Amino acid sequence: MLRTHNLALHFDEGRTKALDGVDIEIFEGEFVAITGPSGCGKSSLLNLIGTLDNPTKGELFFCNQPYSALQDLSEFRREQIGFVFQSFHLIPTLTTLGNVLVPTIGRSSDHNAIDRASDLLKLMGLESRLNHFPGQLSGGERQRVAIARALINDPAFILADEPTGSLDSTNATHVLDVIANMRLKKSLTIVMVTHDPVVAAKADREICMCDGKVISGSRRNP
Amino acid sequence: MHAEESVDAVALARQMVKLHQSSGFEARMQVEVNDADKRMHLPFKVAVIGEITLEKQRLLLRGISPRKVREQTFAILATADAPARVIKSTQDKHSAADPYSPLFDSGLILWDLLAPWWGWAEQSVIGSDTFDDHPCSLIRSRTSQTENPISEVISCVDTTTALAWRTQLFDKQHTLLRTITVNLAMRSESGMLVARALTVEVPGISNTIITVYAGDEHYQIKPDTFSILESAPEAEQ
Amino acid sequence: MNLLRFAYDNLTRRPARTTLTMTAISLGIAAIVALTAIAWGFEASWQKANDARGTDLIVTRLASENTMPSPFIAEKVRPALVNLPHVRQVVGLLSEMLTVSYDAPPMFVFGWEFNSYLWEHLQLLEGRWPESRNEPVIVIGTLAAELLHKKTGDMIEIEGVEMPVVGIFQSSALVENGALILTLQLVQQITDKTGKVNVLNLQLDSSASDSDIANIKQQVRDTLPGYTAITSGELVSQNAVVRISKAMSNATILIASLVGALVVFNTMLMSISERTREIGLLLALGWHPRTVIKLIVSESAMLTFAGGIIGIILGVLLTRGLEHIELMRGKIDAVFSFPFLLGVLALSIVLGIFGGLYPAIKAARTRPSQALRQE
Ligand SMILES: Nc1ncnc2c1ncn2[C@@H]1O[C@H](COP(=O)(O)OP(=O)(O)OP(=O)(O)O)[C@@H](O)[C@H]1O
Ligand SMILES: [Mg+2]
Repeated sequence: MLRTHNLALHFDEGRTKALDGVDIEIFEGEFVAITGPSGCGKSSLLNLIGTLDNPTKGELFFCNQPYSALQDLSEFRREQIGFVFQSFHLIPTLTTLGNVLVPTIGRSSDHNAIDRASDLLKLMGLESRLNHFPGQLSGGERQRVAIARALINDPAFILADEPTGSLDSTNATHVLDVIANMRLKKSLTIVMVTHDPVVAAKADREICMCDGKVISGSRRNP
Repeated sequence: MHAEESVDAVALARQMVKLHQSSGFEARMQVEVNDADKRMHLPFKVAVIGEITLEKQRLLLRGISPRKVREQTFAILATADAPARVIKSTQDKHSAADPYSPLFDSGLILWDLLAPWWGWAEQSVIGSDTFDDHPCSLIRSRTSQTENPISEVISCVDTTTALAWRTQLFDKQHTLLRTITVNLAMRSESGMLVARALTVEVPGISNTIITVYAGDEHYQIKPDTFSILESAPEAEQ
Repeated sequence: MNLLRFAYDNLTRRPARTTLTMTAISLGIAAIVALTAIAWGFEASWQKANDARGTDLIVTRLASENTMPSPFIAEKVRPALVNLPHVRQVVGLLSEMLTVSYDAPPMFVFGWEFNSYLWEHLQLLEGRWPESRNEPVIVIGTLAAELLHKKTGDMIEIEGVEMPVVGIFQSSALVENGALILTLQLVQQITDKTGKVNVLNLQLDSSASDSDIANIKQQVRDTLPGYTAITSGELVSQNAVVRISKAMSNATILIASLVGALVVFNTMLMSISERTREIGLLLALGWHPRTVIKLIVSESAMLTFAGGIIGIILGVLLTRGLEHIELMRGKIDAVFSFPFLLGVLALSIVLGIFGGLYPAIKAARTRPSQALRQE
């Protein structure tokens, strides 16, 4: 479903090689964990997959279609990708419901967005928190709001960058359970960056990175 | 070089005389006097009616208000060949008056209103200056007539509009007697720039602000307009 | 959840800054409203004076730029006018701005031909009208009565001539309410302008059409060199005071608009630089850059819209306040028309759109990966 070819991302005119020749393949419905030491390029890889950055070299393919052929990147992000970040990135002035609806703002044709958002929040166990502001929620709750937001447009895959990195183990477990649950319900593909071996162990596969290169797990084991 | 400049000055003086000509005009003005010690008097109003030709210049100055001013009328006659003559008329009598003396304790002086210095023989350009951003030439007019208390006048004339923005009047000893400056000018119907508001400063004595608030450039001079000039003054002195 | 709601929330997030910006805008808009209403008021007031008199055309001496049309002898011109088609009455008028009392500002003294149609629109509140063409009496408008502290029976001195006030009238035109009216003959006598008038007012019969009026104007041009016939509207728009006040209001509109746009520009620029991460997030969540532009422009337009509404209210209050200041009494008859206020509101929204456009485009160009990396 997703494939990269000789992917490279350089910064500072080539002095920093965040990614250096990455070839990976991710299949539909897979749960892939990306691990590796800090600064090895995990977030960079996730950003490239999420079209938040352009590769210096190489190409990405979504369903065998090159990214460079995509007409409208924002539409691609909206329709196919759901982001979850370590620091939640909720908008403080919006309620739980408002935050979940943010990706639908500006799309007049989307009539049942509120219903979908409430359903999602119910699935997250947040039905009693619809009108709370992020400041009134716990870390785990906030991350669940962020997950609901990522799912509001029914994406094909979730890109999560250390989603449990700011959470204690109880909340982390809860959030992971929620993600696992959603994956089954919505047949999602999940790419998750993590430092936590316990989390990585729950994944179908672990892609191990070091210094901008993939050292193991780039392909599904036969 | 010097000769050329004096030709200019003479021509300009001739132009000034020509511009002042009128077959009849009327101007009503409000006069405010400030003493040197800044004490202000109640303003008064006068009307000036004039007929100015090359040969003969006549002005009638009629008091409008308040009552004390209203009771007085002055007429001045100046011709090319005789010194200016003034008749003062009050309700009951006519008498001769001095054309050079101030009227109503102000800087308003009949002789000045005629600007006779432009008719004097000696005119020269003595330099240039600016007045309120208007560039002007300094013209010196001099006379040798001994009976005249003013013997020298320096005018700051804007040569493009022929308006004297500032006029300084001196006596024989070259003492500055008064300065007349134009505070506000307006275009007359003929397109000429004329003074709308003037200040007459008598050093150390008073400051007089004269504002023309109404006027008629085509005043119909009637046969009896200047009749008091013909009446023989009762007792001279 | 819609875009406008989101924009509104973003503004209320920083109440101090939003209030400050709105205050700046509303002051600018208030200045625009006040000055423009006053300028239009001047014009409308003069217009009313002429309309109320029932004057269709005014004949005056041609005056070039900066000059006052000077008085002329009525009988030299009148004969050529009375026989023109549709002309019902030709009536002389002499006006001067005179200091009548040192405690009051200079006032209009009008000389109106006795028994002419000019008097018909005045409403006598007290006393009587002059009874003959040279009876030395004055009637004064309500505002003049107030400013001069005069009532019927009191004496007023005009240019050294003392006359009793015999009547107080009201007119729909502010200019006339603040004026002293005498018979034409009397004003001619007092100002030493025997036989002269400033203008001749032509009253046409009701069958006169626009083309008849144009025709009369042409005839005057052809047969009376040095004179011009204009409609009262044209006269008013040539009036120096009207022109100056209009120029002032135009300058205010320009300056206040520029300042307003700059203020919004600055505010929005500040606001987006504070929200870089959030804008990056919106883009990451699939917002189209166009939607980001819409968001920022909506925010700035909302700011100026609210500022505009407050400014309009302030401006109206300001003008009403000015009308009550002694110095301004009788000089202001502000006009607030609904389309004008609507126009001002539109202007403030346009300011917001222009002021917010660059910051919005800048925001839309945010690179999401970089923005999200900021902590
Ligand atoms: N915008 C940038 N400019 C310069 N260098 C960058 C930029 N973004 C990332 N890098 C560098 O690229 C390398 C990879 O960064 P990246 O954020 O992908 O690492 P990471 O594996 O996610 O690390 P961590 O586990 O700490 O989040 C790092 O050395 C980082 O310093
Ligand atoms: Mg990272």
